[in-house]
Amino acid sequence: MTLLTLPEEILCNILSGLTSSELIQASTTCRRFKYSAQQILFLRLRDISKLEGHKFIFGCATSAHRMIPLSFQQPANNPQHITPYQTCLIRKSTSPVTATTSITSHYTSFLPLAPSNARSSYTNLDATPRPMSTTVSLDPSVTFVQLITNAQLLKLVPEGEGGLYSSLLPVASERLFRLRRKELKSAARSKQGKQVWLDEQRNCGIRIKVTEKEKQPWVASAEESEDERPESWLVEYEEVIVRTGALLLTLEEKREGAENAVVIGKVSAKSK
Amino acid sequence: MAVQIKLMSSDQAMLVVDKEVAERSVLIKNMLDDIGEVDEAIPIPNVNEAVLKKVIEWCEHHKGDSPSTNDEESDSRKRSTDIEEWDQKFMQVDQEMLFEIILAANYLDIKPLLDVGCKTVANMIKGKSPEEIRKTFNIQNDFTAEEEEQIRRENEWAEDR
Repeated sequence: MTLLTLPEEILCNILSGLTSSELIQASTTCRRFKYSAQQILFLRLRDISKLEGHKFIFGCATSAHRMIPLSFQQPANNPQHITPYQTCLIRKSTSPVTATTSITSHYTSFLPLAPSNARSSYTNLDATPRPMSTTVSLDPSVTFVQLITNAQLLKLVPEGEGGLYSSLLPVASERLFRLRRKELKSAARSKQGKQVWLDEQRNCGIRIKVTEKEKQPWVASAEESEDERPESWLVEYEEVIVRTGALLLTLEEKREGAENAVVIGKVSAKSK
Repeated sequence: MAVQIKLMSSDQAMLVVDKEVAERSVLIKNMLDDIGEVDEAIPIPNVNEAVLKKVIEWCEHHKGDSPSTNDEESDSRKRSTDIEEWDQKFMQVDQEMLFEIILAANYLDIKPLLDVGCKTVANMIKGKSPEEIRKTFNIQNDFTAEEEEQIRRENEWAEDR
């Protein structure tokens, strides 16, 4: 009697005692382990792709504009108070999670929508929601612009318990990337937009659409010539894609260290 | 005096146990519910005497346990690998016996014992490299070098997070 002679259901029961990160490591032990680990990871992946109890939030800005997400509940009477961090909708998975889904190749796609109470929506209430965007400007002497992104999972507090959320789990935190003038120009011509990975492991990436903006005078001065004006582009974040397995590991790490959980931004439920 | 019943192991050993203890096994409980009172020994064809004695020892200790309030087959419950002290000591047996107990618990339908057994094995796997796991459980590496390299590359994204 050995471990490998146990029936499949029992081996699965045993391996279910491991975290997903331990399972991924253990799957290189032998074929049988790999097979059973895949069965368990498939079920976890399927559950996690619904992201129940969590919201995915995303922020992207030039470093000068980056802000700490102090509040996710926009006070209705103060619409200017908008952080660049926005709640994203799960648009679709790149493919549905099925029994043959590989934990390595499955991605979940998020749609970062501009906040519904942004100023633009006052004028046009029926407008289809626009993706989040940033305007970037390059002076003639500058060759690139640096953007900083933050992607986090927000654990929601069950209704009635007060507070907004209990923890923030970083998926890709404080990741910098550069957009060169060349890239901006070619992306503005391209119909497909541009894909940017935010980490070496390709766990998180964004797809951006770039539109050239008309040159505006930098200063209202008659001496400023057309050539001195900065070039501007509107960078729209059309999609944030995250390796679903990375979401799973992020959420589990949290669960493992639940006793160290920090309650952030706990405020009374009704502040009226 | 408590009602007693007789069990017959696969190697024809007769064991007398309290009905209450034996009924920790859902299989035996259902059987007794169906046939009512019996004088003959109930055959347990898949479990030998040594293993059956161990299983009964566990049932004796846990006879007072309230039936598991959480029947839900939740993955996160399984993932908690805490084992109470008495059970930890109980499971300090050789691997052969450990797997036999797990199989018997599965056959006799004693879920809490099955869970404790599986968690014990999970804890033996935790924190070990694949090579250490192979050593611990005497498993042959049946991957080719190329396959191993490919899996390693596939899993790179999960490292150093």
